Amino acid sequence: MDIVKESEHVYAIAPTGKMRVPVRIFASEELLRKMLEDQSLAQACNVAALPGIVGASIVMPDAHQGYGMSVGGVAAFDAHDGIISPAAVGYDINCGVRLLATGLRREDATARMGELLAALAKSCPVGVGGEGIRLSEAEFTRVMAEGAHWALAHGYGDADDLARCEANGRLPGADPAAVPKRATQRGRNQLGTVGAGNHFIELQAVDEIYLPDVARSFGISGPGQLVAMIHCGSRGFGHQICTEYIKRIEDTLPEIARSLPDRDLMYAPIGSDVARSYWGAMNAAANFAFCNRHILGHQVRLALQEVFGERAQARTVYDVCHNIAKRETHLVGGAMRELIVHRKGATRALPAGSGDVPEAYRDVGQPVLIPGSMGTASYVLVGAQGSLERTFGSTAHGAGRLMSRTRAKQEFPSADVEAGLAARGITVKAASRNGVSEEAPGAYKDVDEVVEVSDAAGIARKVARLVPVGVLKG
Amino acid sequence: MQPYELLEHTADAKFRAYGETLEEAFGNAIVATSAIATDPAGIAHERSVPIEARARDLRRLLFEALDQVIFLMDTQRFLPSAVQGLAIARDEDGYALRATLVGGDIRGSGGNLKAITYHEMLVDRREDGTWVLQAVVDI
Repeated sequence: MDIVKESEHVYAIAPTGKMRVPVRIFASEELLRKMLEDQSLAQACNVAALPGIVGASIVMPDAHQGYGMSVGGVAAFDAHDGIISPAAVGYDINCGVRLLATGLRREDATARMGELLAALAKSCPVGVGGEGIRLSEAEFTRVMAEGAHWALAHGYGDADDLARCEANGRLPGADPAAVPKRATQRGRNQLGTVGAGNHFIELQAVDEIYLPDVARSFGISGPGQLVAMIHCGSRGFGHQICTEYIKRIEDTLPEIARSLPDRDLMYAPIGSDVARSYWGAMNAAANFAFCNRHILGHQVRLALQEVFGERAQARTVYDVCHNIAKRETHLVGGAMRELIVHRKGATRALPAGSGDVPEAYRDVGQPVLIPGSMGTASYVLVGAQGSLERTFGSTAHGAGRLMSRTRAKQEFPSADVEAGLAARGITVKAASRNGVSEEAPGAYKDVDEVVEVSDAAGIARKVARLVPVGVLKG
Repeated sequence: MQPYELLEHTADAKFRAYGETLEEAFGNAIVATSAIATDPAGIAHERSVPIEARARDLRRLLFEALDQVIFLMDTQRFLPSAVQGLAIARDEDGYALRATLVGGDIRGSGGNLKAITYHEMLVDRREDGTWVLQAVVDI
């Protein structure tokens, strides 16, 4: 694999063999070295060989090996001759992040942390056993079609939450009839739950502001302000849709499955019936996830108000998805082209003036939310012009795993992790002890470096750094 | 022969299961999937759940069987700790698997599995005639 440095923080692998386009990597030398330790770049080369791929197979600074396609990648395909691939969206369809800015200070939270985490745990079920809202099948179908709008109509949150959400909390194209029965069986009682793994609700304090004017537009006032971050997705519903469609595509198009170097990278030509069905089911899962985070945002607001009364405020800053495929129009080689942009572990990052940015932010650009791992910083960025020119309007999505969960459990006993966090003023309330070890800060790449590269490469700009104060996790 | 081992994988969880026969290896793969979610020694033998799976090839058969285990975890909070009467029949359409999973309810945490993947999946017969199965579970 011949990696050439194109410019500071940008590397490329020229097409060889079956590759139709180059691989373009956004990374520092250190992050690139870590990518070379796993299959991330080999997977990016496999993606570069898929039919109809446009421009380049893009690797984000936080990329790590995934299934089929690495997590931390962007791949755009022609909307007429291209393909769609469940593995290039990810198992957790519309995994994403929502941020709420409060009227509180860090000290408010630390003084009443026990009470606060208990209130959060009561209103936001975490872990595998966390019981969600039980819905009839008819009602669940409405969630698939209406996304966060369903939640608003049922008394959760307010219109402002919808206005400050990617796609206003509802993607068009959802087709409940395309959703496999087993996915519905898994998802029906999971609405309003966080789940486990790397998903969390975190109370954070603003640590540093880089772009004060932009931060103010986002409702972030200055260091010490308390904010709340929610990281979760479409739960078992989305996972099962991905699983069922990998099987359906394999059954419908066995010759494609046989031709692939990695069977997980199964894809369907965009005009095929199975591609249309997956599109309808994927958007249904995306809408479930928007609805889920909207409800959790509302529940976080209630918990904060239970402890602090009306001064808690808790207004939604934004909500992003980082596992999704979208139909978008981009300038490619001097002409506007309709594309299916897959972002797997990548966040849309539109600059000021883009039509898809909510009106409130159109003059400053789209907020980008980068969750750290447990105990590390998280970031608010803003979309930059460079993302439209180089990455189909995308940037990184998080820290990216560095170490397996098995090794993390051996290296970081949960008691040590909790003591280390406590020494830094961070309280953790977890449904599982193993969860604490597996998600230890040392098991992840350095989120600060991931964000530095995004900023320096011009695919997003740093707005604010957030540090954790209290963590609720599965 | 050890029944299975859990292996290192950056983002997810990987196992390798072994067996003198294909059937034994499949049974061990099912228990290994449980072991990723929680310590199988802690699972009670409270009830049994029959499963059936059909597939054109053996990798897909493994995918189908483990998908059923994950589905049961998420919908019934059931985790298997043992497998009984696992049989794999071969016909002109491929393979058909039947088995009875024995186990109990997930207590406390555990059962944290998203999906089975084809990533690095192996169903191999070794030179000595024994079988080795490998899969990565998204967690």
